[in-house]
Amino acid sequence: MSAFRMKNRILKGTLYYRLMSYFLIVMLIPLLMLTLTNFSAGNRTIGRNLVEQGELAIDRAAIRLKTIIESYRHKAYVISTDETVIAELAANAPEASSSRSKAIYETLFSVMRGDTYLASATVVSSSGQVRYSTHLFPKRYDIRYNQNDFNPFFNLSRTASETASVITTENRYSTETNASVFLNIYRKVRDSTGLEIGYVAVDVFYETLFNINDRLVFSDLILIDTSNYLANSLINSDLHGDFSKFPALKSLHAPFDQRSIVENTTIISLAPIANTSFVIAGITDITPYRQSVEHFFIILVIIVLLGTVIAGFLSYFFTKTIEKPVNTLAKTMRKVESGDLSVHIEESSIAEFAQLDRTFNAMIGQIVNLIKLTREEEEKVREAERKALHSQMNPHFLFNTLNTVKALASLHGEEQILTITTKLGKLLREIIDNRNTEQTLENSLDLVANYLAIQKIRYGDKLTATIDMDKHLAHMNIPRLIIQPLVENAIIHGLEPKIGQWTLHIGAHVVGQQVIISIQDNGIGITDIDIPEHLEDLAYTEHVGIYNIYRRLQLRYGDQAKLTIATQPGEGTTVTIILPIAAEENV
Amino acid sequence: MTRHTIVLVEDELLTLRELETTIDWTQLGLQVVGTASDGISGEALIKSLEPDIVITDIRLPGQDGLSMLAQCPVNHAIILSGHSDFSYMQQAIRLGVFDYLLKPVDNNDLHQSLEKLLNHIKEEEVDVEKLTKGKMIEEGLELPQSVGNYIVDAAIEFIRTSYAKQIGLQETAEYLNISESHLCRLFKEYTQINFLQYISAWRINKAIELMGNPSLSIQAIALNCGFPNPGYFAKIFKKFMGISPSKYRNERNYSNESSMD
Repeated sequence: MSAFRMKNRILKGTLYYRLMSYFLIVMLIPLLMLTLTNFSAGNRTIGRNLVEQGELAIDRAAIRLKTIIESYRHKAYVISTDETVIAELAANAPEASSSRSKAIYETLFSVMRGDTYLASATVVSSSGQVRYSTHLFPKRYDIRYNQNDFNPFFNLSRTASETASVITTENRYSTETNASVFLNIYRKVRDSTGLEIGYVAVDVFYETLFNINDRLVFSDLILIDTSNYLANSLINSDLHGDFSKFPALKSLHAPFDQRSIVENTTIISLAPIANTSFVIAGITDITPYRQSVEHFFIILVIIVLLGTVIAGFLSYFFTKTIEKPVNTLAKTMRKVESGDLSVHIEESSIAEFAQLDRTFNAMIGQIVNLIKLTREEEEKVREAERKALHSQMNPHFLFNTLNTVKALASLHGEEQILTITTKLGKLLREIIDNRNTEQTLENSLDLVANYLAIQKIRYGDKLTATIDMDKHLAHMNIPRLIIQPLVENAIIHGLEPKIGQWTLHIGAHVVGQQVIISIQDNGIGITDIDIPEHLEDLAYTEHVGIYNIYRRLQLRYGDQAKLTIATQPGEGTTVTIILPIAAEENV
Repeated sequence: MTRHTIVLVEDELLTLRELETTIDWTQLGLQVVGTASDGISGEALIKSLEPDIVITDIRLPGQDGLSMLAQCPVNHAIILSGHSDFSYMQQAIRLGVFDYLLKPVDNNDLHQSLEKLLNHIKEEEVDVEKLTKGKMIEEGLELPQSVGNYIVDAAIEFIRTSYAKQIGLQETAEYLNISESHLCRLFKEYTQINFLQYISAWRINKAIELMGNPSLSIQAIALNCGFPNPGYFAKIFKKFMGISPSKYRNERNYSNESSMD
């Protein structure tokens, strides 16, 4: 039975773990594939896309910025070559007549053509005496007070070409209209003799950059002046200075040609602006993409964990649903094994098992019918035997006569006759008169005791017989006439042919979960036949008596009952019957 | 010490003599007051001697042992028979026979059976004593009517409504749908009285009520109270009230008349 349970556990184990692994495979394979695609190809694609996007956008921004710079440089050039302006600066008269100054203003505003909210234009003579501006005249251009290094135009003399413009981001200031200047274009004004008579400054405001970061590709756009390593954020007007102010630029170094630099958290897209020392750098923050990938990974882990738990539960419940009908079937089969044929399995709700249950029930039905047939046959034989006996002699006559003999013996004080008649009467009653198929072990052994009491009178001291039974076995039911015929066999075949003392021991004891009944004699042993390994083979020999006992035990207990014969010629024979103690519950 | 009386009925003289002589009756506290060898003289003998116990064979000349017992006011009987037929045994159980021993009889078995029977009789006597102790003859017997256990109360209710029919332990247990042994045990536990004693006492009480009606014969009273025959009624009545029904009636009528004076 324990072996069966073990098998059952292994079955349960394999079923559960198999199901679990199937579920996991089904769930994990698509997930793994999705992950692989995302992490290998997907991640790289995102990176490449970002770089490409950055390169395109930075090109656009560079072109746009170049256009802006070119247009204002041109305006500065136009102003610097204007006749009116040259004439006014050459005059260098502090109190300009209103007509002249009006002509100058006309020139300035016509050149700026309504762009005054995007840039300012300023004209100043080299002495600082003549000053014009489209806006309030910026103090920094008042060169009367700003000498040498403080003079913003000082650098103009150091430029390579005397006639070219200087473009710089060094002179940032805010106008009276709160427009911020981010770029200055300076030019010298010379008279017809080539003498340097004044300067033109065009200051470009941040407003010109309003759509430089279209589609918001970059987290920041930085204009870098490669001549002095100063940087200006084109998006945040307050952010300017050397590279240390820009975390993204910290590791940036020359050359500043067109390229993309992929860093840990940023992609820097660089584009030089033609004909200037400027480079524009677009900063793309890739942290959000990183984070979205991390989120994806966390979600994936959660899905896998959740899926594993669900697979575990599903496998468990599925195993349970299968386990129930299987266990029911196994339990019922064990019952059948131990001889209980009154079983009936409720059909399982699972179609496949229901079919199994139906087949099993049908099979049990057939077995029961077969056994019934066999029993009926046996009953018929017994009935025929009893009728044959009855037709020869009325048993009541037999019993009444025995009673009379007993009365006579009693009246005459014949103790032995009294014992023999009383015991014989009981013995015959038990054999002829009893219609029950079972009796208690105590009654069975009483019958044996009666039989032995008679034999004891016949053989006297020659026969020593003992009966020994565990007290609590007294009420255990066993098939009737199992032990007495074996005792009779022991006396007739084992002891009677033997010279000398005869001993016979009958024991009934509990050993573990079994009851062991033994009939042990010290007779001559069994010599005339070989005891076959399978007692079934006794069926067609003359030892049909012991076969009958074996068959009846088989019918009652199934394979749980055993009958064994151990014999040693000249030493004796021991017949052992092993019965299950638990079989009592099934009765 | 008062010995219980016993009558033996057996048609085979050898067996009868063996029974008489080999069983140590005195030691058991019994006295064989008569023997008979056929059913008719057996009945007459039992009716005249009113023994406590009868031991009888079933097959007897005249009438069989079971019919004889049915006619007599016998409370306790043991049957000795060569027949193990089921129908005989069933009838014996219905008659309240104490034991059924098969021939050839093992004297040890008979001895044991008698000892058990005597114990049983002793218990009965204790019950009767309990019921009759200190009671005036006119009052009848005091019986507990409600004991607080619904099964026992239902049994008492069943007795109250059906005592006039031939009901016993078996019928009551069937009516209540419980086992006889369970009913017996519960009943004894809650009322302190054996179920059969209780039902007999109840019937005696009803009989005492009916005796006030002079137009009813003792036989009619017996049958109206659920006793199978007048002999049995007389026996039970005497057991509880100490005198026979007719004597009791005469004495009561006398005392009634004297109180009218």
